[in-house]
Amino acid sequence: MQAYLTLVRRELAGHFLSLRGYVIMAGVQFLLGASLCITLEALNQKPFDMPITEKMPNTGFFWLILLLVAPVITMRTFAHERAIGTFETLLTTPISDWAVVLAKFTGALAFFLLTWLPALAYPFILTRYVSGMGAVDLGPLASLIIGITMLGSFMMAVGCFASALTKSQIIAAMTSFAICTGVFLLGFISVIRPPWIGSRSELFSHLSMLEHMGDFASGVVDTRHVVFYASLTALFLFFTQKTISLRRWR
Amino acid sequence: MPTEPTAGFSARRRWSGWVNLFLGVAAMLALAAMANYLSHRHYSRWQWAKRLDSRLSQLTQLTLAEISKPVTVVIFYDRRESLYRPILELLRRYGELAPSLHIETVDYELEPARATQIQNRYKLPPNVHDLVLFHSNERTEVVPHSALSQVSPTGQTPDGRIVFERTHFNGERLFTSALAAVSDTNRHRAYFLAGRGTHSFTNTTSWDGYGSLGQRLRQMNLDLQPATLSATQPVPKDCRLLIVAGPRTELDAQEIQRLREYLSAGGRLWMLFHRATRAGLEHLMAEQGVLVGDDLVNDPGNGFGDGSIKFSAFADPQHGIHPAVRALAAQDVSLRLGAPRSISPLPGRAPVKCTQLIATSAQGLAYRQPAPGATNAVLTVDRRGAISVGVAAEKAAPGQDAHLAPRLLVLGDSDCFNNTLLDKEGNSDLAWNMSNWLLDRSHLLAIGPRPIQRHVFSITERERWELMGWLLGIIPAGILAVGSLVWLRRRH
Repeated sequence: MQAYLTLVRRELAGHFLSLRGYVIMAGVQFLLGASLCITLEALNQKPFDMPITEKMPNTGFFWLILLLVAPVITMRTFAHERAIGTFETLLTTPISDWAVVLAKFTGALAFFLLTWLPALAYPFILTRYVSGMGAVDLGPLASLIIGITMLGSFMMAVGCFASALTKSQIIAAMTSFAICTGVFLLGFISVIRPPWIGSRSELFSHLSMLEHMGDFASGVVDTRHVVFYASLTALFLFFTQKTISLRRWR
Repeated sequence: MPTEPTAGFSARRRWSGWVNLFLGVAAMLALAAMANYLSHRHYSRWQWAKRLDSRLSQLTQLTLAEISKPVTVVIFYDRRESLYRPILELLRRYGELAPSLHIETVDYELEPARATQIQNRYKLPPNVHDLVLFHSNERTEVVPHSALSQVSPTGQTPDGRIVFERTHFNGERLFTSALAAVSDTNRHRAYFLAGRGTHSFTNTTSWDGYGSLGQRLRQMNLDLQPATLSATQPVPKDCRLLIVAGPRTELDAQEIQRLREYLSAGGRLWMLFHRATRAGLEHLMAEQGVLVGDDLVNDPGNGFGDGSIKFSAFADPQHGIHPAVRALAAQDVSLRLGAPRSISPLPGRAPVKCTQLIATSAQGLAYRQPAPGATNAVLTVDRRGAISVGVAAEKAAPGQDAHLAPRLLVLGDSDCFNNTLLDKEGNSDLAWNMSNWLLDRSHLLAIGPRPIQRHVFSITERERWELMGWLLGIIPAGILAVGSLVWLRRRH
């Protein structure tokens, strides 16, 4: 456990003791700010009857942050270590592969969540400009945080896996971006294909990130979405661990 | 001869490693698929948003428990519409309680092919959008978007136009009614009096038509038919409800006699008076304990500026709030009527139980109707105070079953349910409650509308720039500045 915590701290320090981490955070804040400004511009002086959190996932910036930031955060987790030659040293330490994988994943996820942290203040800033109680409903805010955490976990796990596959950070980022965007686009298949009724339609609806986030953003926590992201996160962490252990005997 | 040592693992070890890897990956994939399959079959949904509170009334739960045959529900909506989410969550809750409910969602903007398929399957006109459709037993009920919410005036634009906003959501009531309609094979028959200048129940286009009300009544599982009364034509025997919608000419003695016979046989009459005439029905109404005023009611402080007036549910001093307006009173929903006649109970008419339903504010005025043909007549004030414009009368003989007792609802205005005013304020609710009370469907009266909370962001140009400055400038730049400091400190 001590080794795991030390590795998590090392991962976080890697982000916070370099300019790169701050550039990512500033970028995320800029895009979130732009997303909020666009939402406000659309809503200003017009009565609306849904919580502001429900509007956020409808802006392109929201998805841009999720799909772009995850590869940028995770691309260095394993690829950087392999490029500079510290990976072998890490593997020779008396720490299990799982502890290494989980520590890298936890560090990346914690940093990802920290980049979103200032956005927590947005709803409360907005109460200054809104008439009518309840524009900031804490229920949808909490479920949106759960949604972003679940989606972030999945993307971080994919990023860790992509980073474990290669030495090149660029290839890792591109692979991770391709997988995440691929899963994101899967949800659109039921739209662009001819109408499917029944299990196939349900399957693609089950995979649709837009639908999941729509639920989370409107204050609905569905165990199906939670299981979906938890299982995919576990799957990709398992792949990552296998990729690392593969290096021992291949 | 000794073999040379190899640098790596043996081939056998490698093969066993690959097999191990393959089996592990396959097992993990199977586990993930299984977890998702099981979670899809056995799931829970928690709604944490106040606006999605989909606790169902006990009566809806009873209705759902009685559904045995499969019912298909299609939410044919643009997902960006703000009512989409409350509709979806409410119907999902229905689905949890009634497994035979199959819910489909179709976004006609995103899924044009599926939208066309649904339109063809249920014979929907191509330009009809945003509706919820219930289908079972070869029957289809459509709940249109316009019926799902109530609108009320909330302000005025700078050029003086009144701004209307959604105030209440009628989802549960309409969905439960539609479900009851498609799963109940017994359709009751209602008739409306044709001719005599009454409003037309087939006219959906002109402002004074009753076509929209006709559609709502059909959604309530009523088979609506025209009726003509004469010496040889009584009210049909299968009539569960007779509507006399604002006759503008007087009914003849034979027609009035037919109405009298219908009421004495336990009939249910919904009487809406037109401001121009009492249609010769004042004596029949008096026999039922209802006084139809020869006047016009106004409430100067509560006008909408277009001749219509705001009214409210009224608590009768003798009988309290009537079930037909109880939900409206509880939600403080106002009503919008034209210039009605006063309608009040006639005292001393036992065993008639006559309850006032709707009244003006305490500043109401009743003007005496000018004599027919009088020009430039000065309107004289007849009465002041809270003036009743609607009454419910029940005549139950001692020991008689309440279900067989005649019921009468009288309203001093017929314009309030025309195509223009039906969806304004709580008018559609009033029509719904009145017809359900007359039909003795008191259980449906308990499902009231849910308030919709509205918000308005009001940001001035200066505040907008200030907010943009913080969000797009100061916060990101501040983070970059901290990063630069850290970087510089570590560099030196």
